[in-house]
Amino acid sequence: MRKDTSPAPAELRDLADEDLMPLVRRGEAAAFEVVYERHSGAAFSLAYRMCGTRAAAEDAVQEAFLSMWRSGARYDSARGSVRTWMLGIVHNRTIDGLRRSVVHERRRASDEGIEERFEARERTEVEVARLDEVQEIRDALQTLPPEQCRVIELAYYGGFTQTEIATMLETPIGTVKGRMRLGLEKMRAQLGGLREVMP
Amino acid sequence: MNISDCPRLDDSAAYVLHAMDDSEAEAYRYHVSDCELCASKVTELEFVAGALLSGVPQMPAPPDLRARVMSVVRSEAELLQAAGAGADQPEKPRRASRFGWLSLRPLPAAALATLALALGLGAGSLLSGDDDPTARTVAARVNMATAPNAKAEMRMASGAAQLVVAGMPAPAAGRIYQVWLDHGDDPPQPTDALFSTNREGKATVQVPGDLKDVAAVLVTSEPEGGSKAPTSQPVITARV
Repeated sequence: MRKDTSPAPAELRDLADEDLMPLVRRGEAAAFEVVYERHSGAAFSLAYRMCGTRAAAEDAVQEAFLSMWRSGARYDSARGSVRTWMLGIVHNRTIDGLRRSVVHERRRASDEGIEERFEARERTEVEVARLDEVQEIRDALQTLPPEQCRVIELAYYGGFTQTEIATMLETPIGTVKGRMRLGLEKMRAQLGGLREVMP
Repeated sequence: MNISDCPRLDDSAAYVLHAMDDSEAEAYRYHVSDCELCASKVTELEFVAGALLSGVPQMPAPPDLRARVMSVVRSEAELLQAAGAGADQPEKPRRASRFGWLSLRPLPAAALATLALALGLGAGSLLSGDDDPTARTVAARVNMATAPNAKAEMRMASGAAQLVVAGMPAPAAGRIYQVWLDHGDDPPQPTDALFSTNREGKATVQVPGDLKDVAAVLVTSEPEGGSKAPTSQPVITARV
């Protein structure tokens, strides 16, 4: 049953994501807005990395967050953080959109200098810690042998299937699969201490 | 069992990276359900895939995106609130419906159905009028000084209607577009079809209700949550 009172906005900001989700499930827009505030940047960053254009990234994030709002009941804390769940929705939606596109050749945003193109603002401690973890993940990817890094990026951020990647790189599909697995296993070893991406 | 015992172990990476097409993924999922080695490897690598979701250059989301998302969210929340305390109770078990998504949230089904279709997010055609001899499309008049190139049309088939708009800006902060049914003599009848447009100015809205005796379908800009009577002049008029 709906509670007679809802937490004030300031109180909502003190709640962990996992405590906000029951309120979101109950239809509390203010709780959802806090979740949006916390994770929209990461969602937009992921979508932009995959789509390569701000307009497409915005549409993907809008669609994903509204899907999240309507399907809050499906979040299961036992399966990971709200952030990972939410980013998974963004990833799935963006891949669907990329694969629906008639023209399969997609421009993806380059990693180089993206941060510098957007304003540097004051960051909270949580955000700084999060950025450190982001950098750790990126380092783990970038230190892979180039051929392993390439297939992982094409698949995960480019939305290409293994068959498409094999064709693009003129490489046997078995080799592509092997590079993906070796690359992920190396990253797994490097990121071993990073049990969950975000608090 | 030795790690090389399963010839499909390499597929685990392609699976967690979403690098399989749907049929490949489905076949591998079936394999994993019966192969401990692959199941273990998938679990191991899923951690890395989850980390990769965050492994991109970080940037803030555009402020106007928040306004668009929250406009729709607040409208739906108000509908839920208006539906009363019973609306947020889990639905009683019922026969499985082919429209299973209707039970995803506790919003009133009709309101949710309308809103879910009103987002203009590329849902594609909702009417299948190809085989319906009564199917027709009528052009709608758009009256927006700020969007002289905005267009709208209404597609009707099998007794259902769908309003499709393009080039139309999102409603102002705190506002939402609302669909009305104009019967001619009486004041327009409100509907629970509330919508915003996407960044490209597009939206696809299912027009609720029976269009019999309806002279026109109207769209106005209203406060979030919608109104019982129009508070502004129609921005779209589609003559039925």
